[in-house]
Amino acid sequence: MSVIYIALPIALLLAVGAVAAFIWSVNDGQLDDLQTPAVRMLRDDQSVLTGEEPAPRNRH
Amino acid sequence: MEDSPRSCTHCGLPVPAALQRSEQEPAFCCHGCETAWHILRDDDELRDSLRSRLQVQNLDSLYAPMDHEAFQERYVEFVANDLRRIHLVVEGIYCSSCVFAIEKLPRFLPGVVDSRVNLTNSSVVIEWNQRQVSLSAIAMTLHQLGYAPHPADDDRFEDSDRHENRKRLIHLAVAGACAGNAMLIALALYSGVFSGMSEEHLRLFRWTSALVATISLAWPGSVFYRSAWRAIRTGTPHMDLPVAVGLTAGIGLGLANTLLGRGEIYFDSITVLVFLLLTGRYIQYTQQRRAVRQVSLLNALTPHVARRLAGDGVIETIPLDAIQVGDRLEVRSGDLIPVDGCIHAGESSIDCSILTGESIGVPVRSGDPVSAGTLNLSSPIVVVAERVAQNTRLAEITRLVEAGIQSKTPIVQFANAIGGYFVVTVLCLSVITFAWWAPVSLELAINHAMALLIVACPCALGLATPFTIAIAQARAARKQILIKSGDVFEHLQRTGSVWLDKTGTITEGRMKVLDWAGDDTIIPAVVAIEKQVVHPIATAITQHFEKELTESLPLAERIQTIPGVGIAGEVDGRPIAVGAATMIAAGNTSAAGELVERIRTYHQNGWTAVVVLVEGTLKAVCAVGDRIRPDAAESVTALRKAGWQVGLLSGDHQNVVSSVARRVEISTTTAFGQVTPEQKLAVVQKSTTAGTVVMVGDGVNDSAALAAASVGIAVHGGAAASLQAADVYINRPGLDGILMLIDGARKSMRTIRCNFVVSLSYNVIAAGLAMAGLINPLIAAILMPVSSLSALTIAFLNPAFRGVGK
Repeated sequence: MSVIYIALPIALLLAVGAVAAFIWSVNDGQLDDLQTPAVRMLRDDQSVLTGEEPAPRNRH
Repeated sequence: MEDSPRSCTHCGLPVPAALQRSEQEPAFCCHGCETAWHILRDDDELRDSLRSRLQVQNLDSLYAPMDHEAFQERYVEFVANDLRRIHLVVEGIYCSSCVFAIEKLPRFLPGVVDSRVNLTNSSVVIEWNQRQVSLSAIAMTLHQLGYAPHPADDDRFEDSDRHENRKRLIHLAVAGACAGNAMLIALALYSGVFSGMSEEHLRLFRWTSALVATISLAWPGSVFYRSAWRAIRTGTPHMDLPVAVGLTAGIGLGLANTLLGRGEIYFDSITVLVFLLLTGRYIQYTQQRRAVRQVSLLNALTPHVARRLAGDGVIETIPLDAIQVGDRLEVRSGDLIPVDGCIHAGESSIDCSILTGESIGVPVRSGDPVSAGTLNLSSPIVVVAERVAQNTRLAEITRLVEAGIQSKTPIVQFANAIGGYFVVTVLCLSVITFAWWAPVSLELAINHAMALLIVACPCALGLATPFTIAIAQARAARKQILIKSGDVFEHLQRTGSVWLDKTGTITEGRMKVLDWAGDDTIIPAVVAIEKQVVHPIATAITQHFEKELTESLPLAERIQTIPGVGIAGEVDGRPIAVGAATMIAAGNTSAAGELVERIRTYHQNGWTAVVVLVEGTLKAVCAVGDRIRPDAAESVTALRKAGWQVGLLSGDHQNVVSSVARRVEISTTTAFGQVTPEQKLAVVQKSTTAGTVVMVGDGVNDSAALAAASVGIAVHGGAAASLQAADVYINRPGLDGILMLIDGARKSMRTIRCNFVVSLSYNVIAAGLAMAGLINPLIAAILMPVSSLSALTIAFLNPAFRGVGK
């Protein structure tokens, strides 16, 4: 059962990692608008004029 | 996109044999492509129809000032070289098609590099190359698509709002992670109780969950401590006070027992408690945020323009910000006057309803003062700016609104009022428990007393109010009633007085023809003449009769407006004059005694009488007025039956107000006419002493009163300032929204109280068990979620704002 001394910290570290990732995504603005991305699927195609991929998203 | 029969018309992928069609028809690889293609094609049609519809408007002059330096300096962001970026708030974004259409902007407008929509706050960020395309062209294209753009003005509000939202989300995430982990560890501990666990593992688990609980309390849980501290310092009871007491007892007992290696720990319960309470608050916060946002969207200012007369007589279009004192500005008929000033040249009549509420044009001539925000009705004038921006009368009213907000007494929410008693009761009970058990064993006494403090923590109580309010707000919003704060419900459960502004609430807010008597053959001539001017009365007359007219209008010549009186002209060589009753004095009235009699009746009814003179003889009379809504009398009666005192507050003439009051059965002693914004504020402030005051209005002149009232309700089509000042915005015509709101508020408060009883009974059971020394962490861990669940269920069963929406 002494494996618990390794498993428990690892489990906690995973949780910390998940929380850190979430905080990063919040501060990155990914959760500011929860409605638009869902309806944007039609948009991400090539531009006819420039032939380029659309410009990256503006983040605040 | 290739168009060979073998590849999909929409995406270009090969079309499976089963879906092949004849060469003329478009073929698709799948149903998704077919649907999307049809949507797009329909979109084009929609766009074309919008285009043709909007072509009538003169968009050039509307958006030209966007290219002005002063505007660009204020709103446009520099990206690189010629690249510029602007944040626009856009009207009319609803769904994915809107996102699609706007984000396709770079395709049909070369020079636009990127356009990103944010549906949540209806805004667009556009990047463009200023060498290739001008901002005004972008704005015009957006407008033609059906999305009128406005510069996003309140960037600072945006920032703090975004910051607040992010902070709450992070708190929620941390609290959730802590609660989840504490529960997992608790699960291990509980199974350890039944199946046995070695001492060292027990200690490890207890220490780990102590760590998790400490993080949860120190980071997201600090919100409760801060709020509780504020409650103590200001002496106002608050629900967070008992929560903080419970949390402190829990963490204290838990840590002490962890340290000593014996007794119970409650870490799972308190971490879940923090998480649940924060969840409830976040849900309420998002509802409130949505309501505030939707209202502030309506506030977005149209690009204000002024036409400045330069020294050499050239007219240039400039944004409002660029106006300086002493500038001479041309104001065309139908335009808003941008500044306080006096008339330099020209004669006209002005609609001052924004300041006075009076919807009748006021005649003005050279030398007369005019105010910003008023509407120039009949003919172009030149105004010399005397006070601009923050010094105008309009800005003065805005400051009055701020004063009104400050004078408003905040209400202590029902839940928070209970909070104070709750703390006292729980503390007393724990002292009794301690005293009871102390003779048995001091250690046992401490444990039982602390356990009581923990299980009596009002978790469900803390959830009941935010959930009920959030759900009621969401349902009300679906019925076009936007509620900005939960306090509205608390205020509306008590009766008091309702003050209604006449225009737009009891009446329809628009001039209409109510009666016509006399020679019907002259109607075409009257319409032909009235068509020549922009004036509410003229518009009412032309709109009313144009529907009935079958033949084409005769030609009206030699049109002459007589400011403040009427208009005269010639139709088929016959001189015809249309205007106020004062015109008759000059004409021959002896032949039309009956018509003169009618004019008197009109005046008694509070209507405006319009007379038609043909060759100087009175031929017809017509009554124009603001029609009372069909449901007004009924709604007023319903309000009175519900125990409210109903009064009228209007800037209109006392006669008009009294006549309206009589017809909707409001006592004329509470119907005040000719009141200024300051007087409205005073009336509202005076009645606050006698219960809840509800102010219903739609104009700038109401906004100070709206802000000061216990509940300010702005109605359908209100002015921006009134929307900002009000607590509720009802976006549906008529008074039934107000009735629905009051009814909904009552029901919601009843639900909250019912929720309190149920939640309290859980607390009583738990406290009883704790006093008897029967409680253990397992029972606490089961009781808590069950009580929260019942709080949530009751909140959902709230009957307020139910039924089929509009």
